[in-house]
Amino acid sequence: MTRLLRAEALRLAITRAYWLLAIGATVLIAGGIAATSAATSFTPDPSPARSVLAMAGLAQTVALIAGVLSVTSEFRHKTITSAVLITPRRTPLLAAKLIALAAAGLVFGLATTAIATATALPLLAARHIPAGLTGSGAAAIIAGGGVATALSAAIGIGAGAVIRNQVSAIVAVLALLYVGEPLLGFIPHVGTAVQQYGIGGLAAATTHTTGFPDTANLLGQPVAALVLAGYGIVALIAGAALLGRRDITT
Amino acid sequence: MRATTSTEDGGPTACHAPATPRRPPAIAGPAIQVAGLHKKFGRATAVQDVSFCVYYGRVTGFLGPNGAGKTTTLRMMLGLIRADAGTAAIAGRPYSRLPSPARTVGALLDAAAHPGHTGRDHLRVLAAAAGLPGHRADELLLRVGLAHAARQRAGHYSLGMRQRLGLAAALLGDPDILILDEPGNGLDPQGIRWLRDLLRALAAQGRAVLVSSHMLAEAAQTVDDIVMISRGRTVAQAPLGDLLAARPGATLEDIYLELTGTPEGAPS
Repeated sequence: MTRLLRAEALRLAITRAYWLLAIGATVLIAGGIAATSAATSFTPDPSPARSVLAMAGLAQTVALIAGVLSVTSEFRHKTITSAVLITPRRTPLLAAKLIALAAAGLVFGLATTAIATATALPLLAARHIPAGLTGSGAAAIIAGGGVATALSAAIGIGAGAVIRNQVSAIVAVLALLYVGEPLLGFIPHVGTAVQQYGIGGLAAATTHTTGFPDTANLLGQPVAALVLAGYGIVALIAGAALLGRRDITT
Repeated sequence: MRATTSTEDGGPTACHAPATPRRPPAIAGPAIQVAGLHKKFGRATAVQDVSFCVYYGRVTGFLGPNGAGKTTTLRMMLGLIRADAGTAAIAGRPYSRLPSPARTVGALLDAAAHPGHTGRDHLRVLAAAAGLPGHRADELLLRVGLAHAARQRAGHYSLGMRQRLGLAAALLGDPDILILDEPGNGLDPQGIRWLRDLLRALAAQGRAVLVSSHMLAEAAQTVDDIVMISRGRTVAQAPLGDLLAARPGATLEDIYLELTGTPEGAPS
């Protein structure tokens, strides 16, 4: 397993797509939060900081895509063949990807959310807008950002192993996140459940931000993190089962 | 009786030691023993009865028309495709149960690499996964003549360069058994000569080399043994010399066409 982890860490480090995603997301998050904190009027908002920091949720979307990429790029570029030849037992292969990407996601999530918080709070303070966020509240947002991002990467790996085709997998997760869940969220009765148990709502709750729309009903932070982890486990088990069963013909 | 096996007379497990091994085999018994492999994809039967042996110290040519089931057979032998029936033992056991597959078997199937990775990085990732030191990547790049392109992205490699990179990957773990699917694809005449010398040298070291090919003239110069399949079945397994001796005046191409069918559109 140590070998596989070393290989996956190396693969992460030398693949430009991950760096472009990480740098791009960090710039967008910092820029978006700076602009919003500096310019938006927050009346009436019990916690302007939590509303603003919901934008840092882009880190989870990026981690989800990175997770999908880590599996689907092996199929797209046919490197899955040599990977499985070296490691005929396919579940450890997936587990190594999970550990490497979840660890990277944790660091990335902590870093982006910390940068976001450090950007938002001084700008709000400069405008004499009460942030509505205690010190422990800020810590919960940053820790939640790390956890939610790591779990998103795990869900992405599972989804990638199930769907395999890179474009289909990315379109599927983005469509679910940005079209499916928001639209379902508008349906009376069902909507509340989607806001609570959809991936978007769970990620927002796990990061202790307000989510989108900011009137969304969210679960508590620990419960949301557990449900999100449950989704990750289900996706990974399904992915591992299918990866083990399917023929590798390309 | 020379070491001639076929599915008709010998049965799937009748593997004899070759009559004239160039070197004593590294391990007793055949390097690869394939018996009665079957595979269907949906309703289409890809492989319906393939059996053969590959011996240490010899280059075995795996020949057959497009769609005969060569690649499917190789992938079943390597545990990438699950066989519906039959077995493939590599160094005495199924590939998936080899204790360190990369040190036992080197395989070239796709010549694939992430286009954004350099040739060197591609090999470093594989070496790390196989528990091999990173300097093996540089050694192998030198061995396959890619040292000058080590830091170029594989996406900029020609097909011939990708084949060389794939050969480097196959040789990373210094394996005793090599399984190569059309390794000559995309190689220029210099590359073909280089490949032939490489395969001969590997066999002379006592390694088993199984190489699938379409290039019969090239195969006739390179291989010791022939395994021929057609429509998913083994149609011949014999030392090349025996095949030729049995049909005086015939070339390998004549024998191939006789056993696997005449070319489409040919006058009958």
